[in-house]
Amino acid sequence: MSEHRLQVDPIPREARRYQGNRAGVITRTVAGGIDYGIVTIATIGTYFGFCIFMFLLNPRSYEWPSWPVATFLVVGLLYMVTYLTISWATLGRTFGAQLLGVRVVNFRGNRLRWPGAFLRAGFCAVFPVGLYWCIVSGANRSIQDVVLRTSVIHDWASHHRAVSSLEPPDPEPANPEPASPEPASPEPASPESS
Amino acid sequence: MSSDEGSSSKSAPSSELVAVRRAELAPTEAAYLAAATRVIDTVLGVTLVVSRPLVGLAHRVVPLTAPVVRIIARPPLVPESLQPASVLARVRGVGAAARNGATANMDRTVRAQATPLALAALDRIDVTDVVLEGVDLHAIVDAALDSMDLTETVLSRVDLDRIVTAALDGLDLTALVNERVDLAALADQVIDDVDLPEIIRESSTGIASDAIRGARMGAIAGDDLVAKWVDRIMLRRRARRTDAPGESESPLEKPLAGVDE
Repeated sequence: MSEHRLQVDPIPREARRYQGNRAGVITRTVAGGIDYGIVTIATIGTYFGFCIFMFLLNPRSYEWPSWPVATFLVVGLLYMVTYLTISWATLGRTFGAQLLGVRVVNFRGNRLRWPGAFLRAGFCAVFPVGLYWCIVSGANRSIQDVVLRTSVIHDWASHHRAVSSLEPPDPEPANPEPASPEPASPEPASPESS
Repeated sequence: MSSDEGSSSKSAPSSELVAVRRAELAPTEAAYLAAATRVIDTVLGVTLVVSRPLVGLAHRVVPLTAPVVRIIARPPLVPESLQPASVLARVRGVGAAARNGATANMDRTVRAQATPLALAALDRIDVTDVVLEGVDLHAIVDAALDSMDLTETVLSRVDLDRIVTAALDGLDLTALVNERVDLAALADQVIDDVDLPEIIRESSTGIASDAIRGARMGAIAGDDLVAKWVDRIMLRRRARRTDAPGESESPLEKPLAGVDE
């Protein structure tokens, strides 16, 4: 007798029809907002960590350091790019995306490779407003999705992803692969953190 | 055999069967039978040829001679016991007694010999073959079935409990079910009907999970609402193409729990 795999879908029935479809602007904005919050906390934490470090170096003549806004922006930008790159290349999703049940995939539907994840992270960090192109897009795609041929899809099966994240990512053409007219699907968007 | 075939085979086969049976007789017996048949035919023909004119003549003469015959049969002044009619009556009684005796004797003889004769005849006849060729069995069976309530007969005459028990005793019901029933499909359908995953979720998830689930569904509803209004403003008639590339990673495609059949 052949082995049978009993299929039990942990995804609620009302959400099943959305699985694999591109997420809309509200979902992606909320996910991105959570990620921005994390990066903001990390940036501020870095600042306070720097303050403590300076205090420990010279407690007697300690003065509260003052960072210019540009410093905060640069640190935040670096954190954002690093955070998004690692998240998309390993788990396929950030913490915000995990909470909202979305995931970033390439034009083949696979997890992004490191170069692709890095390019997308940089694009999203520098031009976050590109997310809102998905409001008018007929395919729920942000500008980053259109350019890099990525998609942000609903995928509530998070535990499943964690396992596959340990596997090597599928071969993916070095990212921005402009040319080839991709199938009616390429799409994109990521919880962009942004 | 159809009813048409049956009816046509009833008349035609009868003469054919006689010919066949004759052919099966020994040559000497067949010659005797043929000679006897010719003699009987001759005697019968002569009798008919002679008797027909006499009968016609009698029909004409008897009405004319009836009064005379009555006077001769019952002459006046002669004692009744001596009248010719009385004498003839007595003689007729003797004849009737002899005929009855002969009839009884013949009846006894026939009764005694009927069984041996029938057995001898049946021994020389293939009754099955005759029935198959000459009888419309389908019509008979149909008529018999039409005239009876077979279900009622079975219910009243057959011990169904005993039959079913004997049948079940002779079956390995478990093996039969395993072989004939797609238990996996059945289990899937049952799980799908009762939404087992939903029951498991509701009984095993906490408030945080419910909150996340609610937030996700709320965001999805917001997505749909925004898309609906934007599409309406942009006079876009086609629905958005939100299908993404690749396979869905829902566990429906990649089973979680394995169950050996």
